[in-house]
Amino acid sequence: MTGLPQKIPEIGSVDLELRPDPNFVPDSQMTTEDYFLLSRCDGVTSIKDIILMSGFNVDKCVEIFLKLRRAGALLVGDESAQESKPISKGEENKATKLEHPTAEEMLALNEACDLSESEKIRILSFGRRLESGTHYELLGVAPGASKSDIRKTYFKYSKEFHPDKKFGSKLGSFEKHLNDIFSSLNRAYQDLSTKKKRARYDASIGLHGNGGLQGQSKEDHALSLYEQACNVELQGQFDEAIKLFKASLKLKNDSRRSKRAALCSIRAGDLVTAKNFADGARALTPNDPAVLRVLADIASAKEEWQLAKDLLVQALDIRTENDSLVTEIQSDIALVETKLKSTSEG
Amino acid sequence: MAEKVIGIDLGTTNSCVAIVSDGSPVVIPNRGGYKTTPSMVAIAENGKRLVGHIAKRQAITNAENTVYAAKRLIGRKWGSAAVRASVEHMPYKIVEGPHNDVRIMLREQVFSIPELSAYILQEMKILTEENLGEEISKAVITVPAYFNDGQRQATKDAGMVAGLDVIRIINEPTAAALAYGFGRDLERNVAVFDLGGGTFDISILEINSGTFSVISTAGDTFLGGEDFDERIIDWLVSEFEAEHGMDLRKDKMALQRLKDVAEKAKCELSTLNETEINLPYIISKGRNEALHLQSTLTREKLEELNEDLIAKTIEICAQTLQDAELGKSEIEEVILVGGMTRMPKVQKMVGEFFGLEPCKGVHPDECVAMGASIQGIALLDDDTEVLLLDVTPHALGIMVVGGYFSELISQNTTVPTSTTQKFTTAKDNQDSVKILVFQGESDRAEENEMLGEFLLTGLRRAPKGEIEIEVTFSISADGIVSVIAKDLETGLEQSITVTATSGLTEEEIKKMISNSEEHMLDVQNSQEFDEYRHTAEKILSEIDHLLPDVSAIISESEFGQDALKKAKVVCEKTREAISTKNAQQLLESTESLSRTLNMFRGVVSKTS
Repeated sequence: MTGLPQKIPEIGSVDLELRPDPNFVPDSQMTTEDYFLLSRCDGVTSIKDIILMSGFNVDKCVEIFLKLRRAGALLVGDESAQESKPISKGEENKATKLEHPTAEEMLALNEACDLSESEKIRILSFGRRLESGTHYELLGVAPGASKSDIRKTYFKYSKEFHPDKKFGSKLGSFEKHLNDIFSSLNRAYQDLSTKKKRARYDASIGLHGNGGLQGQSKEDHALSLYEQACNVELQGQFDEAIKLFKASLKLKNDSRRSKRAALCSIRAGDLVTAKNFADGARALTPNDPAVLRVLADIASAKEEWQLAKDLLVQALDIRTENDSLVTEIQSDIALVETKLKSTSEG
Repeated sequence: MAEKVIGIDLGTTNSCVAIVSDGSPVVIPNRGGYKTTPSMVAIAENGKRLVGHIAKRQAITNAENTVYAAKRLIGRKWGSAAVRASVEHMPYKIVEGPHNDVRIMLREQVFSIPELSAYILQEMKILTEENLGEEISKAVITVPAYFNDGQRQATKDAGMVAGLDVIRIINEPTAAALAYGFGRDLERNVAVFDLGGGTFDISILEINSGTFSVISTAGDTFLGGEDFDERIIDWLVSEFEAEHGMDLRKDKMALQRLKDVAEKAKCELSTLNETEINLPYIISKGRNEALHLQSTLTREKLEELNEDLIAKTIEICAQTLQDAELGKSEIEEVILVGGMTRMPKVQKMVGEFFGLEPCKGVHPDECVAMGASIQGIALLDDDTEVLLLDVTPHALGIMVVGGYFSELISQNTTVPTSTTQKFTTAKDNQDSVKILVFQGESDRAEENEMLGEFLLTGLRRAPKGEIEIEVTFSISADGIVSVIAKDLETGLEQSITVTATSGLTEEEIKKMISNSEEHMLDVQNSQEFDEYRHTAEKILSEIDHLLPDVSAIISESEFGQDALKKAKVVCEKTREAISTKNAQQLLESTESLSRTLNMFRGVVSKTS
């Protein structure tokens, strides 16, 4: 193992910081080790420190840094990103030929529409990015790219691929292509838009962000327990679902989730638990007519028709934009009233 | 040069129209010179249709045949809360339509809401055409951010009946942000705080060199200027009761007068520190004795009465930021929209919350229409840098076992978007699945708006859970929803394009379009023409009468000579229209003619 050098050829002093170049488009030549080192390059940590923290030996680090640098993935010190690096530039200007088009792509290329040949090729070749890979690969940025680089790239591509930019043109099958491309770009941007979401996404693709291991927040865990509960309920395992609902609500009390737990309990025939959940929801959102409707459902299940009616009438008095809910409450009232009538007659 | 397109802010109380001319949006004034036109339609005694200021002017004497605030009813179901409230409070007669929708009866004639809104849109269209001297067929119309697909579709239908090709419906706060950021190279997050007459909206947008991306939008549809008025009324009523022991709320006439005066006082207190409230003969006490209401309302008192309402808007702002995972400091500009934001206390509290001086650059009444016109050219003109990334107002999903709503696309998702999810059969030997498409935020499917349904058949009979169905939802840039369900085993698929119902059938819309065309044509018929000629001739003779005096006064100046020349041209044009029996031209030149007359009268009166 060699000692730490003062300088790395083609890069410079080991006291410099490295940043991922936002224009860098990763290719199949990249290995997970390359990615790992690239993700450490955050513009703050010096080369020296990265080498120390990486756990790789110095030669290996230098070799990877050189590979990344030559591939156009790294910016050194305060070097600024050029508008287009070789790879993306090649891709954008070379929009004259689509490599090995599939039958479907051939059909699209020959389709009669208002797009030029090169526009079609550009859309189809970008569309190939949707097939696989991470959000970073789709946006063509390094996994450690800064927020502002991701933003810049997203808005640049939005202007290119949003279907409104071709408003009024006959697009044929390309309309769907554009919709799909924009939809994916937007999903990528959304998932990376805040620190929390990005950490969640990075974890999902097995990448630990610059901040290192963050663990799971209580909110996140409450949400995943809740989702599990819903899934288990759909499979008919009510008791298991109720257990999970309780656990989720203990971590984070939430009216909507509590209401859902109450509905599950009604289906399970456990009206005591249902009432507890519904009361919990009511305490959080006393003016939600949907919660009152759940309470009325519980009363109805117990054949407490007068209480059910009172709750529904109260629900109807609350102003809501949700017309469908109002319609449901009205028909519930009609139903409860006939029950009331028949019980008083009987 | 791309085709011209107008932007229309179809408001609850007022409407406004704008067009981009020479690269910047301009609001088109109506015949009275006002930049906004009351969203009112009336049917006069002679069966004539009146729109805008004319309708407003005769509203007191013809209340039951004058429609206002029709926007609260558009695209609504008969049983909805909004309709029930309107039936109770509105002086016009609201009746149930044939498709569980709402209609209005005016002088024995039944009108749909899109039809009545169409009259206002048509007025805006004609205004622009008169102003520009050319025909306009395309429009972008704005709606509140919370409007569902049904309400949006109904607004689109209204445009169609008005003879407009509605190329896009956009959200009001988004439009305001467009007006704010258009033509400026900005890179920032902005909040649009929109407090109008009936509703409150807060939207957060990210602007990045010409691209306007909506991050999130929220609000309270039952919080607005009217609630502020209501607080003033409560205060006046309780003061009066304390003094005289009589409840003014029990008297309908008194209540109407209180409403008028409360709104007026509220507006005045935006500039004044206190205002007198005077309502003589407000209620009668026994025989021949009337009581008067006299009071002084200070700005301070008004603020005290409404403090919690403003606090509620701030609370919603905080919640919206939290949902968007944004810090207050990440908002770099706050744009105020809606008449209520003129209230100094509102401006102050919003400013304090965001730690920013709210932006004064956009006009709260005009920016929405301007923004709509900007989106118009952004779509039609390839050279514009503007791109609007709007969001879907409500979540979309399907009904799953247990009657639950399974969400596929969440609220505030940027469009176009598409998403796919796998589902399985719920019963053994199930050979078909019914896909029920819903829009809304409730976990119970039935509590959401059903947009459509379809059946996927031909599944292999198998134990439950074995057959996988892939469901794909897509929303296009103009908000059209399509759903595909695919049996992954056989590749069989079934799809629908969801068209929200506006409460009108296609046939009804067609009929309304031809009706409205008929109305456009009846301007040409002779009786109407005679009326126009009569008016024009009256004005002409007065101008002729004043001409010698006026020219003696103003012909000295260059401006005066110019004005006289223009007056002559207008008179000639009018005479020509009379002789050629061109009603449209006559109508147009009469407008200019009456302006000329006003100017002449002004000149003479100033010097005499």
